[in-house]
Amino acid sequence: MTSNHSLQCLSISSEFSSARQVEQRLVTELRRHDYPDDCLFAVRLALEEALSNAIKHGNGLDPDKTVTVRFCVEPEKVQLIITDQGQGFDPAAVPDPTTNDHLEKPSGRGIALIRAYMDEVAYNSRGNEIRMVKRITSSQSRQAG
Amino acid sequence: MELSVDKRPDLAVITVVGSVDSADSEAFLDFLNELIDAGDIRLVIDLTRMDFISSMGLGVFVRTYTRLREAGGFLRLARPEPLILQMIKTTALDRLLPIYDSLDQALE
Repeated sequence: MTSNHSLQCLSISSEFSSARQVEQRLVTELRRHDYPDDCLFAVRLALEEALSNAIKHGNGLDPDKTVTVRFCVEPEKVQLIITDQGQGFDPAAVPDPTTNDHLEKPSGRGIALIRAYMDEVAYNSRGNEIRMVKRITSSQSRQAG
Repeated sequence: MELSVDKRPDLAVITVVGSVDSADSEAFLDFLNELIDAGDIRLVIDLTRMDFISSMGLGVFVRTYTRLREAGGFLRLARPEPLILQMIKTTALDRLLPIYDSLDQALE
């Protein structure tokens, strides 16, 4: 995380409604920096998926456990770190949801979406923390205004 | 998320307005299941005013598609916004779910 831009740190309960509040706060911050719509969609989606995984699979919807969200919005990139209080998991063991065997399964698409929409994705060794980066590329123009 | 349904002689058209995030997914699935339980097994979901959906929301599409297929009905998705369509393609669900560019095509 850079020291030139403010790092925001939030701790939320293990409820999907709490995730929505964090997303709205981040979206507001991205709009303030004039992030283009496709970047905004991508970052919101990745945050939504990471928080859902942390709340449901990490913390097991346990109301006594929390999820920590840290994010830093810079003019050219946004960084996010989401940490849960679960046992962690092996992301490499999650099957590809786009194969025919998994296409009709109702879940298991979150990690694939994060990887598709973010520029950098990394987990800690325990598997209970994800770090993500989204950059505005030179081909993407900022919104007018 | 706002949901509404237009029941027509041969099918029902559901309109989704706004976002379907993880917090909305259960209510979205309940809404669709209530229609199916009432005998509406030919469903078209109009996505033109839906601006966001999570993977749990996509899972609702998959569950509903599977249930309707087993019941002898169908689920069709109409007019997804480009960002939503891109997301559906990223997860390869365009290979599973029938997607139509226009509502008229979905109603045929």
